Amino acid sequence: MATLHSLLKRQLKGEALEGLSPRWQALLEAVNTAYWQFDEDRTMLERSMELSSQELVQANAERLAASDDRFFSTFNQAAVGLAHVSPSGQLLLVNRKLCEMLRYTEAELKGRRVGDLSHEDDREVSRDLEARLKRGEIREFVVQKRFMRRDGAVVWVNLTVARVRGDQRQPDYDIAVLEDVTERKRIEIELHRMAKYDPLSGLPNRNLLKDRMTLAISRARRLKQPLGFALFDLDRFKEINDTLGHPAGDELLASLAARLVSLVRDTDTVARLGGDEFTAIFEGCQTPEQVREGAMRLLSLFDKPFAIGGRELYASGSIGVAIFPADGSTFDELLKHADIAMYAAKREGGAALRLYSPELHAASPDGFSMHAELRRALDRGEFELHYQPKIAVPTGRIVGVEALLRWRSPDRGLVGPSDFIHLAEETGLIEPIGNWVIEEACRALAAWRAEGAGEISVAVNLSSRQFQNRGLVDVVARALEKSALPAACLVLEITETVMMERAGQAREVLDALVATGVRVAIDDFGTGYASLSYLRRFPVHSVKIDREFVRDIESDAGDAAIVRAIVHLAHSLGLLAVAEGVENQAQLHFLAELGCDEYQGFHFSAALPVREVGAMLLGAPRCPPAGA
Amino acid sequence: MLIEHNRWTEARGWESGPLGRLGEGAQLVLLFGSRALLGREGQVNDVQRAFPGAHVVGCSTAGEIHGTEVSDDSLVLTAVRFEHTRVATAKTRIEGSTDGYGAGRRLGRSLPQDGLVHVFVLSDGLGLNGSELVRGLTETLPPEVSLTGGLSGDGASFAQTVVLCDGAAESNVVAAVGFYGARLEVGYASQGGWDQFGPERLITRAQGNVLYELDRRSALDLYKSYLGAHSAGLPATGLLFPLSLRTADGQTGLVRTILAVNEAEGSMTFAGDMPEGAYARLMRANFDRLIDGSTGAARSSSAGVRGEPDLAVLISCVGRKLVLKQRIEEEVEGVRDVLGAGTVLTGFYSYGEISPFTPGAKCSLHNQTMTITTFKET
Repeated sequence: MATLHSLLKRQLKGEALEGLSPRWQALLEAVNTAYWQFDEDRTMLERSMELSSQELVQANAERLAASDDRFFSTFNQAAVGLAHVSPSGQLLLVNRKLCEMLRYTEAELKGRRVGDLSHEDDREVSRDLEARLKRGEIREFVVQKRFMRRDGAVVWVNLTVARVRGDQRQPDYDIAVLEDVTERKRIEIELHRMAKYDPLSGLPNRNLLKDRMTLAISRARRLKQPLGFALFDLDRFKEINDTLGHPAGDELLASLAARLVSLVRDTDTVARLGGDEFTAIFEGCQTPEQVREGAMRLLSLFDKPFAIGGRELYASGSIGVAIFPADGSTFDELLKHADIAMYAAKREGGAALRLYSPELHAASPDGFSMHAELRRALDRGEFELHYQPKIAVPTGRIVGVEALLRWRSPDRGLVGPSDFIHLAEETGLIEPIGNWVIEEACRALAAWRAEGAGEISVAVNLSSRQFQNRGLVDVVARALEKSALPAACLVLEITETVMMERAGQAREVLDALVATGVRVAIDDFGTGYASLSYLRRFPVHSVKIDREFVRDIESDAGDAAIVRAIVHLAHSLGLLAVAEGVENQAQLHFLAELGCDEYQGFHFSAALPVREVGAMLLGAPRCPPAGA
Repeated sequence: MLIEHNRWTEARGWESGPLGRLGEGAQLVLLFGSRALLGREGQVNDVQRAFPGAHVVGCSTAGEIHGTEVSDDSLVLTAVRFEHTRVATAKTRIEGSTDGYGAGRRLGRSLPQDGLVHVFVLSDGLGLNGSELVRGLTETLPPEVSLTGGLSGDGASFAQTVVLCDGAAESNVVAAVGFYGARLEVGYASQGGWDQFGPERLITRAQGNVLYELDRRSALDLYKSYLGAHSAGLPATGLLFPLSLRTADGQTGLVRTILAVNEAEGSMTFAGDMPEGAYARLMRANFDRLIDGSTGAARSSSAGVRGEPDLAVLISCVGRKLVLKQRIEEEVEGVRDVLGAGTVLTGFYSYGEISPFTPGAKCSLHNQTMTITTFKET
């Protein structure tokens, strides 16, 4: 018999085991074996339970570690700032991006209160939302607020906070997602400012003026008070610009703006309308006389000299005033009538203030009301471009078009540029109009090219005033980008007079323009300085021979000699020679013999409205070459 | 159906008297016994002489079932004379351990299929992949023909098993008995009763029925750590911890038991497939649930016949016997309680059981189950 199990041994203690029958012996043996087997089974069961519980604990720990690893690598790889925040606002966990964003180390951030990192003025921004989150009314919220970096700089943050409900072992906490939107915010603020303020003077621009004026009008209507609107500009500003230069002109405008702000009350709105034109709104006056008195103070703007470029400069201004409700009940009406009044003041020699009256309107010479009309023409889209084809002399093919400005006035019909360009230049309106011309010409050409018009160019005339403005380069670049037109397709035509007026600055602007890839042509060549040396100094692409020399080219030997000389000169400098004003086959024939490259004129086509020239370009009719 | 049931032991000879009461009328003799006894040529010849008209089919075991008694080192004989049923046999030799599928197909094709109702298969228990054998058979048999059977055993030594089919008992043989006739009802079921425990483990390295790694660690080392001092008893002691499989396609409930270990290559051979990518969990015995499993199998299998079955063939896993030890007969008694006193119980402890879990399910190889096939003629 196998060893007696200890339990069985104890149970049988004192019993006589000798002399048991074989049946009892066998039973005892079976019982003993069963005792041992149960022990064995129990031991093995205990062992397996212990091992498997160890395994499960280890597997859980490994799984948890792996899960933590995955969490932290994701947490730290995130391109946004992430944090776990306790309900009392303490940072429990912060990721790498958040540390970078706020310029703190992880150790410095952990345990800190979020509120302490907020911008002083923004601490209350999310208080209400936080309370609602805490009460379970909302699951998350998003706010935009400022945080302070360690170095004191401000960070604009798009903050999303979501509450995570805890359990018995883990209390509630918040997950905060912080996206740095500082740059976006900066641009947003800048754009907002640019849309409403004039960069040179820092004053409200026309858009903001219109808003403020509309509000002021409704306020005045409600209070049954008069409202004054003054428009004024500098007398002979063009001369100042021409003699002292554009930067000096800008400086004068900025000084005037500063003086204007200090002169008026805080409640009065002043604005720069454009060019040298400023406005002021006078509110809270009881009588028209009080308005007039307020406006009269504007004259004192010019009492003292302006310090410009290290020298003292006296300036004067002409002021026109229109009063609500007598002179108009809308912004446009008041502006138009203040404009008429201002021109009346200017006509009388300037340095004066005029109040608008209907008689003034009736008596105002054409130019004065035309000024107001021109201003509105731009807003109302009354300008249009006509295009005159430019032909290659040897092949007779259209190689380009010249864009020419027309004003379709509701009162005056179709007005040519000679009737309004001078006024536009004088008042500064030429800049926005000129910019529109560049943009529109690029747009039209891009459309024709897209429809299959082929490799043609468009030429745009630049005025003296536009050319003086460094912003021109941006205008050109933007127009090209917007239309996706190759830069080489745009030709800018400048008269030699313009070029010579300020050679240094012209060179700078021309270089910048040529750097964008556009081409430059000298217009009306031969009529101005006749100093040819600048042709070598400037990055010019072609010269346009003035129609004066072409008209009598067959009969006047002098003209023929001049044209021959110009063509010869252009070719020797590697430039194209383009003849203007070609009216018949004989002139064309002569020009061909002289080697002229391209021509424009009635012989081929007058300037045509956009639709007609488009049909011509796309239908591609050919003119026989000059030699045929 | 007439049945002659007898048991031979060294001490008592044939317990129910001389063989051959059914004489030439017996069509089928099932003979389950220890490898040593089946190896005695005279013993088998005596049986064949006593039933000259019968097919004698049987195998070595890890214990024989005779009524409600479980014995070792005995021969249990069950001779059957059907009233309306014919039987046919087929056997095939296994050509290497990878021939399971081929052997299954050969057997399936060699049985005449006209009127075939059921196939009962006995296979060498060590020399092949039982899952592959079942697949080969299932593919060649008509879908309406049911299939049950088992893998022969060799006590707890896992050294050599034999199968006999109308001749001497031999290793590397698979035998099949085909039953023909419309009036035979056959029921079958298979049930385990083991509990899963511990973590689920991914089979990361295996080939066919040979397992190397679970969760990238040696499976053999895992078993040794669980068996402790009982590691010396491998592979038999490995049966204390079968594996429950959950395959990638979501099939669950398959139980695999260990047949052999290879210390040199650190592998363990199981009775059926151990597919890589499947999940395995250790299982352990729960006495009460093992016995519930047996009675559960009895209930399901008896549902396949009308009234009390004439005959029930019980094939139960050696793993259950290793666990239940002295209490092993409780599971057979449980079967008796369900089926009734009129059913002849015969069978053996095996290295693998073949049956669908329930009627209508797909037939597969099981381990650690009680598998019961019931027969009744109407």
